[in-house]
Amino acid sequence: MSIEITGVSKSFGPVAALKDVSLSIAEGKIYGLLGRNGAGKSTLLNIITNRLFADSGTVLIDGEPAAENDRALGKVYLMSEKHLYPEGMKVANVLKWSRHFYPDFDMDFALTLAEKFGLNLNKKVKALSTGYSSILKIIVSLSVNVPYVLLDEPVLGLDANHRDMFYKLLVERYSLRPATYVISTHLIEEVAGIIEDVIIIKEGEIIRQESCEGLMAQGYTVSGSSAAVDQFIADKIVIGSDDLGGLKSAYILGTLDRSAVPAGLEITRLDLQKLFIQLTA
Amino acid sequence: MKSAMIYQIAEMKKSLLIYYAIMLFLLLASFLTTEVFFHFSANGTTINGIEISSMIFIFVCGLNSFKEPFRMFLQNGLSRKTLFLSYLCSLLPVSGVMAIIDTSIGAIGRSLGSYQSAFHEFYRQYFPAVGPGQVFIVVFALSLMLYTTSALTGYFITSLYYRMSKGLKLLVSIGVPVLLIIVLPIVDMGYANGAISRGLGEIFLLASGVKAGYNPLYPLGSCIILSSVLAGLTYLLQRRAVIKEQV
Repeated sequence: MSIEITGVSKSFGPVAALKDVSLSIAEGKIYGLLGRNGAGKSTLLNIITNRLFADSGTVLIDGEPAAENDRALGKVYLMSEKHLYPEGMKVANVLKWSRHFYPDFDMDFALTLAEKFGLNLNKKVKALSTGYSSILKIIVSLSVNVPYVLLDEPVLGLDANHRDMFYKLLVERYSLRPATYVISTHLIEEVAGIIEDVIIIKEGEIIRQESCEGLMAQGYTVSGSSAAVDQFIADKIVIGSDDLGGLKSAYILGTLDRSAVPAGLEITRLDLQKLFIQLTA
Repeated sequence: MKSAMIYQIAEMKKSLLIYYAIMLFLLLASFLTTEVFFHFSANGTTINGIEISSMIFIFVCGLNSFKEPFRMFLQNGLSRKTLFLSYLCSLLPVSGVMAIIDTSIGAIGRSLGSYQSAFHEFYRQYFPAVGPGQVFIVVFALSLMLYTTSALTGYFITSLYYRMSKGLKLLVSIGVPVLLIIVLPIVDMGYANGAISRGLGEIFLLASGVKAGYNPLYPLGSCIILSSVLAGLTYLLQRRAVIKEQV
């Protein structure tokens, strides 16, 4: 059971948004789809969900072609940056119709979430702020109960409290009813703790697809006094550093030889965001 | 498919109720004015044309039936094929209900002597020769097919406009009226000696059954053919439609 993308290419006029993309999205994992603006993340998600047609290549959902196939498409829900609900529709009706179209939609859970987030069910979709529009989409995404939930910038416009609530709810939901979640976001630091696999897309090409652990194991962070850190990193591949007063943290690519670490330096995990910046620069 | 049809019918239901509330109010007001207060029917004054209003109404409904449902269906994992088929399958019962209401209004109005349907006006040579049961069936069938064709015309136009670029929309919006109102008459009268308008007239007379002695079964056939062509073209337009803005 998986989403299999094979040789998918898509151009908009002279701009190649996706170039021969192939990847596999397995069942029951939380993925981070990371890429810079215009890297092709949204185009990829829109092709998976039949909103756009690929110029070439195929998308299979649990072995069935996704294009124009209700059964396959019914297994996927895409929460996009801009939703496609009618502007004049009330929030309550969005939930009502979601239950019509997705038989496993959990209305009780959706209503509980609406109360938790303070979402007014009688408001029209067009009257929602960017944050509450995201909240509506989050509520549907978490209640829809399909095997694959794709979240494109899910926390757009949310304040810190609501973002925190969302991440907690996502993990809770995932542990209670495992499904595949693909989170496409720029807020890498926030999702680093919950994603299991990372897909990095750069200029329409997949440059990395591996476990988050595996990716982070490709390097490490060294912290300590500036002088000691500078001396330690002199012969290493440094992908970034932060200075604060006399203290410094440096992000290193490569294998760590713990015996060569001088006293006074602290070694921690690599920062996913720093690695992402390095890989996509 | 069932959910898709329920959605499509629900989309039309509200405007349909408003439309008939207005129509019934107007008919009642007209009836009271002509019959009760002024006794106009004694002078042969009648009310007619609800079918034309219904045709215009359902044409406008057709114009508004693509973009929002298309986006809603894609958001909810339904294909373009389901969008198209569910529209067709929900249009027929909606047209049917409208045809029954309009035909019933016509029958009641005629019995009161103050109403004349557009079909009775146009096919006045045909209807007096058949029984009331057949009149009801023929008027119902004509209404059903005309409403379906009107809705599909609107649906085709809105699907066509959706697929066009801004420039092409502008070109068609200006070009088609210019072609029909200015260029065609000039070419027809100046170069074709009226052959184009005569040809179009002949087609209309044949399609409407006038050439066959005002036979209302001809427009039924014409509507079935036109509906099929419009439905086919609309599907071709919709099957490759995509969400335009970045989502």
